[in-house]
Amino acid sequence: MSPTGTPCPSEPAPSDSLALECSRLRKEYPGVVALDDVSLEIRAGEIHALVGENGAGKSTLVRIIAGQFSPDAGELVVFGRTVSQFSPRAAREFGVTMVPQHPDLFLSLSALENLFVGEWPRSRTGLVDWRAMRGLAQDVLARLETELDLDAPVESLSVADRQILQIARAMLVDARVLILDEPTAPLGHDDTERLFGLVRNLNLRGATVIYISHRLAEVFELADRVSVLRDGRLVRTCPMSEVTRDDLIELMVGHAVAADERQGRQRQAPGASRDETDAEAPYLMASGLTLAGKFEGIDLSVGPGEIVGIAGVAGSGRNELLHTLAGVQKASAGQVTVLGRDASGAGPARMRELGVALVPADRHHEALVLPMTVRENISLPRLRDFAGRLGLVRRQQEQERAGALAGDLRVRSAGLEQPVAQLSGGNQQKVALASRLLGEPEVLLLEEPTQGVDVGARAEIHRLMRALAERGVAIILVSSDLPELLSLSTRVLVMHRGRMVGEFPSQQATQQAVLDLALGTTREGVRHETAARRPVLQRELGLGALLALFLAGVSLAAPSFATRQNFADMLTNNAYLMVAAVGMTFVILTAGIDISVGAILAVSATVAALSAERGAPVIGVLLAALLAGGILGAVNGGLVARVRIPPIIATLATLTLFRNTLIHFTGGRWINLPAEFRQFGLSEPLGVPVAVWIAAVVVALAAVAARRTAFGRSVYAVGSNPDAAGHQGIAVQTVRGRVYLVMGLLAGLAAFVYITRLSAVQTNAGGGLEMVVITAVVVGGANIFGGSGTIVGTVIGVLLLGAIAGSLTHLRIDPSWERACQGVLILGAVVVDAVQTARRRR
Amino acid sequence: MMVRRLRGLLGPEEAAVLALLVVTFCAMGALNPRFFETNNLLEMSRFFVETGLVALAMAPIIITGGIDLSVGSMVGLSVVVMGMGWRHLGLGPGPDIALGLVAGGLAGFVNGLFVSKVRIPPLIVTLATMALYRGIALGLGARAPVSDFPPEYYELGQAYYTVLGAVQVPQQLPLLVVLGVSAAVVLHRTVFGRWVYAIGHNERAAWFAGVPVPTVRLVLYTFSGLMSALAGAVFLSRVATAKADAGTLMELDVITVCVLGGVSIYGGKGSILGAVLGLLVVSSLVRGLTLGRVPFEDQKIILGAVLLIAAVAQHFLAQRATRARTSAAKSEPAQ
Repeated sequence: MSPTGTPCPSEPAPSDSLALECSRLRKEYPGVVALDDVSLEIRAGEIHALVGENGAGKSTLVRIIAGQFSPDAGELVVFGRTVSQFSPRAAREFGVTMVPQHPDLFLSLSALENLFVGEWPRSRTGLVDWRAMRGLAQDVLARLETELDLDAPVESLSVADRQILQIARAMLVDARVLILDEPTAPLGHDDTERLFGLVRNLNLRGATVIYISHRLAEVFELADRVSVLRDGRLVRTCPMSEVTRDDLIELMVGHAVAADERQGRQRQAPGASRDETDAEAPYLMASGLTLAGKFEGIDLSVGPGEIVGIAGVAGSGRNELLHTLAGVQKASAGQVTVLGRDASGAGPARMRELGVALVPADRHHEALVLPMTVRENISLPRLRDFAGRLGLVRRQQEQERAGALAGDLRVRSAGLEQPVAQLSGGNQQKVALASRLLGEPEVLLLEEPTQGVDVGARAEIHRLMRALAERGVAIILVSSDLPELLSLSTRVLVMHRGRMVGEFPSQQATQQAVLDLALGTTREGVRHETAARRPVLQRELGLGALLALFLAGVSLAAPSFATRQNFADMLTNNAYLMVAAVGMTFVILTAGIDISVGAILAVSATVAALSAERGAPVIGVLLAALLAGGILGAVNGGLVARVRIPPIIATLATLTLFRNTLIHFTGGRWINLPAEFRQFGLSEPLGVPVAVWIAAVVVALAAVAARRTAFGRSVYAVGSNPDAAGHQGIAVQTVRGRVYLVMGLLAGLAAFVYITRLSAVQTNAGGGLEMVVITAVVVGGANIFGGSGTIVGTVIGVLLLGAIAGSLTHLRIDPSWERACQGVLILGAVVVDAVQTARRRR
Repeated sequence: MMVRRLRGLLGPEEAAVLALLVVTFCAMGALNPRFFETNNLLEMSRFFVETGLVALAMAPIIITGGIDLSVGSMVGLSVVVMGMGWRHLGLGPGPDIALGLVAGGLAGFVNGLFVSKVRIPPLIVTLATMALYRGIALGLGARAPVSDFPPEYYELGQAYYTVLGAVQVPQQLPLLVVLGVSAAVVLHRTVFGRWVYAIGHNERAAWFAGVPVPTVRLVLYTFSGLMSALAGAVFLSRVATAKADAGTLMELDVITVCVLGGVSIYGGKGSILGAVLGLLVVSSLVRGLTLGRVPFEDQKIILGAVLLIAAVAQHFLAQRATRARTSAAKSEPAQ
């Protein structure tokens, strides 16, 4: 049977045993047809592999099936039902889930919780039922016949475990069709075996699996049938038994093979002689270059006039290699030499000076500054060339040089002053190229130079590359378009899973041979680093120890400190801070901040005091305080969540608004509290001051809310990964707004507690409160970026700050240094946190 | 030609602020006709020079997407240091100001180090140093504020230059003008300024293009410290007392001035001219309200409301810009 062209005859399956039926699906983007009239049948209960080169349309097809895109034409039928609306939610209802290539997880939350975010199981009391969660999770893992450390934070899990977690999550919602997009790209041998076991298991239990992979060996091991896509078309669908690996490669590559090879070989003839004579003088040389988790032990050299192409598939590490060679990414080990000079550890600016320029693949985020004009983008990397004395830019010169280059590359734009955001992809690419060519680099690194570029511009870019090589520039090219790579390169290197596995001079580089190496036969790969696992509550225990140490130390230095009365006083005096800090914890957990806390306290305290003055009962005073705080908190919440003003600006404005409105209405007068109220404030039910009781109740309730209510868990989810939270159905903005309401209410309550300790209230109360409260929360271990932190930590933070403030007088230190101490503390806490996070992330 | 030059200076945001300035002037004039007297306008500058100096440094920081909440505290710190310079070292105004600049510059440099080397978000760093620097200032100088300065000290803040025989220009105004023009030139015409905008638009792309991002940040925050110190010197000279609480809540005024002047919180947009126009709007507002006997706290309420409105307006403008950008980007096929 011919390996290309005619589809093999297969019996039409009865429609009720079809999981999916794609009929004539079409998806188009300007200039590119991603899917062209694809009709494909996936049988229920099979493992169906999808293979094809980059850009063949595999991802587009499955994303349509998973509801992320809608097709421009064609129909999709899932288990007999036609899909009329394309959305992830709808797909889930149809029983389709996808495990994407790049995981959508909450890194700071535990593996267990990641499975249930958005749909936490509840107990009869309505609280989140962790035990049920654990039971369900263990069930799923048992079904998958795999194990996972459920309590580990996901950031400490290996890539493989994260993959398993995503699959487990998909299985929880009872997926009937599971799509896996390049699941083994980051995995090593053992993990891949584990994954296979899982997939087979799922399949045995009735799930239909669509498996996209570049690893043909795996496809043969796992799949029942395979479909090959090429240039957006379905080329062939077949049972695995009817094709060989070589057949598949030829199908993926198509008829164009022979012609391209000839063209490529012809083109290389003039260049070939050059690299022989200049072999002794490489422009760029790397030895032992390693980037942990991405590539290892890379040796390469490029000489003048050479175009070295690096081939490889996803996970090969070639893109990262290019970035490292350009200095954008720091290598873990190894050396780089440019024109004989050592370039190890150089950043992009230094590399530029040495003569190395990189045109990155990501046009919008890495290669261009979109809002800036064509001229500004072209000149940016070499701006200093146009600088006269005092660094003033010589506009005239800049315009001429940029204009000349734009002209040479035939950039089509409405002049040099047009923002590049408005240009087409091809022209944007030319601008990016121009910006790197401005300094006349000796070494040019090109990452996907014609990605998303129309045919005409593509040809121009190719011509440009050859012209540059002829002029003596050394070029390293990474391209997912294998024919392009082969036709341009004088030498082809192949990377697989982070290692250099082959080298071909252009004459010997055939698509077959290169793909063979790129797709690989082994499953060994680069070891992936994972974050170190931080034991549970380590931070809180450490803090507690610090507090104990501090108290002990001060007691030794000043015996007057270590009395029961003193400790009791410190606790009582800080009770109101405790209440406010609990509120701030929720705000900071969502990655927000509220610096108007002090103002809210002042307003609430005044309102409460006024109502006490008017003879209101204690409960009335409390309600007044809560009402005031709640309203102000709601204002903040509305500004941040509805109007979308950045929290720092919103609360900076409300800070001044609240305080000054207060002064406006009260004129800053003192309000005396009636004797009955003061008696309440001084009362000590069961020997504990009422202020401490209130703080204790608040802390307990907050701890429960944080841990066991849907709202509390949503707060953590939103702070950890707002996008993923949105995908799981959480109303992100509502949560973000509500925490400010909570903060306001607790600030009101704190105000109430605050005035119970006083005989008279002045309206400028609470000055500097925000600093203390934020410090306490951050010191207590909450991450300022949101997503992690505990109520317990905050409590210890408040106690620590209170102890420091309380100790100053006993240690005979001027209390005016208290603020300085706070500043040092918060700075220290944040620095430690930042260093730890950086270390863990690596 | 003049018109084209002028239009080149005025982007849409600056034009909006200019319009707002005109409106404010008229409103304040209506409130009190004495507002339009030359003397009054010049006297205003006595108060806005300090805020203006700090705003010159805050604007580029906000343009890079950062913020500096510690400016008020750095003012207080340098004021106290200058007080100590006189009380303990008997320094004259020149050397004392230099000492203050060293203190402010150092404080700003520390901010810059934490932001650029340790990579902590500017919001947090400056929130912490806001407390730290104020704390040091209070610790050093709260008890006995120095106020027995010799008359040379009061030149900068209280004396006048007589111009054209009759016009009395407060001595601190030329300082702001010279520094303002220099800052504008640097930000809009030099390599460094271009780098600032690039970082604000897209820090990653700027890094790829070889812009020395950490160095730029370090310089900007150090400059903020220097300007705060300079503002402190002017304050000291004007008020004649080295108060440790100098500059309290100044950050609010400075940020309001910048945001109002079109400097976008989201980074990448804004100009020195805009910030100066914003400064004039706020100063006119405050001055006009003061002349109109509006109490201090009510002025602050109005300022707070102004900041909110300006922030909301920026949000909508930014949304429109993003929508325009994504529709251009949508023509890129997903890979």
